[in-house]
Amino acid sequence: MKEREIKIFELGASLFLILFGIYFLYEAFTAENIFGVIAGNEMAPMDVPKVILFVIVILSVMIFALTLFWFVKNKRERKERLTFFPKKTVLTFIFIIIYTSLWNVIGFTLSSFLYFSFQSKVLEPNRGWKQVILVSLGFTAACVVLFTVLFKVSFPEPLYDLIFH
Amino acid sequence: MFELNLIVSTVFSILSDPFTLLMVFVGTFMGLTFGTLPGLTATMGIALMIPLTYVFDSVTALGMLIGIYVGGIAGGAVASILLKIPGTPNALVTTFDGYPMARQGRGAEAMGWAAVSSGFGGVISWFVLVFLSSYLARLCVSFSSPEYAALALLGLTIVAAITSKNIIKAFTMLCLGIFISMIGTDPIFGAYRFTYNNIQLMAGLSITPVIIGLYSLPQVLNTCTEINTKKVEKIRLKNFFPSLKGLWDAKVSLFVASIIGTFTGVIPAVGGGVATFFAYDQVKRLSKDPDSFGKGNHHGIIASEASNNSVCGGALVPLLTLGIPGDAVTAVLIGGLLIHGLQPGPRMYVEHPEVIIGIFTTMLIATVFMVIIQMGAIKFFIKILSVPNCYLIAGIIPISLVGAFALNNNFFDVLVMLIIGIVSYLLGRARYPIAPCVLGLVLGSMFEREMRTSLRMSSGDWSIFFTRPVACTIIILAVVSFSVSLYKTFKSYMRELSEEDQAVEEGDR
Repeated sequence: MKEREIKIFELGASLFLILFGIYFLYEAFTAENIFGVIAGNEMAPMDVPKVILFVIVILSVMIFALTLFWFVKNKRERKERLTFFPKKTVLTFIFIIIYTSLWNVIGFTLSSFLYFSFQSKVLEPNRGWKQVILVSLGFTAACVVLFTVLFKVSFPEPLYDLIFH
Repeated sequence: MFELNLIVSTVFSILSDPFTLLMVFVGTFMGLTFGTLPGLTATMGIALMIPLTYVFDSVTALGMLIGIYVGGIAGGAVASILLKIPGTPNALVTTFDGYPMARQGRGAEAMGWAAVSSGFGGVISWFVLVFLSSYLARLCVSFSSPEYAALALLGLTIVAAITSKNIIKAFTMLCLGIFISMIGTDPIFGAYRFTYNNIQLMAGLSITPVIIGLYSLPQVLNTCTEINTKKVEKIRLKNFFPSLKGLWDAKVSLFVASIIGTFTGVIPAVGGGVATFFAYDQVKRLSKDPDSFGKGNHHGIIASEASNNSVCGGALVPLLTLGIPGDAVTAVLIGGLLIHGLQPGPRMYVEHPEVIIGIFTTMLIATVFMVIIQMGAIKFFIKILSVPNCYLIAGIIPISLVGAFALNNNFFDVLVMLIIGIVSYLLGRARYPIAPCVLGLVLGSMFEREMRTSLRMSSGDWSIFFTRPVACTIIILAVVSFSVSLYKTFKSYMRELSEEDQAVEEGDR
């Protein structure tokens, strides 16, 4: 990955952690009103989280400042073309979200088969559909036998329940 | 402790009973299968098999369950080495050097070291269990909250040792891990923290979905772009059994990691996850080439695997001598003992000596089986790397989601895994190290709980940590260890920087 790309992510991540820390610090301080009474002279339930969140904010501010300094220092460098999220990464991410959402709609078995087929095809478009579908069928069957039959994991199967019950 | 006649007759009756041997073998094999699949743990395997063992005699049943335990811990190395996804939380440290070795085409060698180290750790802890358990039982009862808090602090200071580059980012991730471990119910007052009236959050976040999320989703999202552009080096399948010279050279790492694992296992509720970090830190310190750790040094695998498997024998010490479970697996194992009418504790040594001898014997047999099965299966496991990347990557997500789901049969854990995975991917792109987050996750809640309990014991007086000899010694160790690690990390970072500058200067010329 290019240095500038990493630094942009660094900037975003440190900013995210600063906001994350501030938000939860606010939550911890507002909750203190209730918990402070319970604790009395002892350490209140929110004391340790407050310290931890404070450290997260301080360290993230340091990283943010150091990254900004890097950008100022390297301002004149030739700007390269950056790819933050390659197409395959975005598609894979979307597939994972759809796959997870489909668990409770069409069930684990069917959604796993569909996910595996489409994901494999997107990753290597040159592979034939016939091979992809056969491998997906084998993979799904192995998952069902291993997890459902042998290890007794009960996955959501609304379609199956609708048809057979 | 026991009469020689009884020992000899019990050992021979087990060795001459094909059914018992078969069940120990089946248990070890099942344990290895459970350990290999991310999310499925030895605890789950034992819980699943307890009802089936009801019809067996007690030694056969316990032999099978111990086989699952031993195999389940060792099996975690497979996914850690081949896919960079810890098969079990205890195998997390194996990813540090195991995956780089696999990328260099040394996956079989890494798995060979993992199997042998697991076996070595198992045997050392077996010796300690058999010959020193009564002495060590005293150690585990002498540990109270201040000692636990000090131990957790020592664990947290390892952060500097497991990170070679940006120490600020490592500390941020450590704090993030500690914060995640604090979501849920407060350990002292029972108050809810950051739960937003969500019943799932009230119980806190389970460690397994979080670890799967931290490692599997980023791994998939990062490698999906590498297809067709970056091929894994050709896999070398020869010489994966460590040579005698190699074993001799690794003797210090093997012993140090096994001893750390065994003693960590003896202390109740500390667990294998902590032991592997401790062992990795120490083995790295003792190494002549500490900079190669994290880049494919087999001593890193030895540290992780020897220590996590030696926890098994250590965790059985408080279980058998005092009836106190050493970790989550031994807590479930108590159920296995109880359904056979056995009450673990000192009386068991008097009332059922044949069962105690049986447990010792089957544990050693399971360890031997574990090494044989793992060694035999290396050629099969390594074939995973020959599977076309498109199928391998497509298969990781369903297996990871199943791992997160199967823990509690709960869809909420799947969502946790996904959210943590997305955050981990984005932080990974910004070069934030993930391992310190896991360290915080494993030790954060323990540190807070024990520290606050200690302060409660002393009515808020912090001197409790310095007036108790064991706690004070551990705290001094933590401070020294942290300072040394920090200095070494800083030195290594500065050296890398100067090397980079030198390279740039040479390039300019």
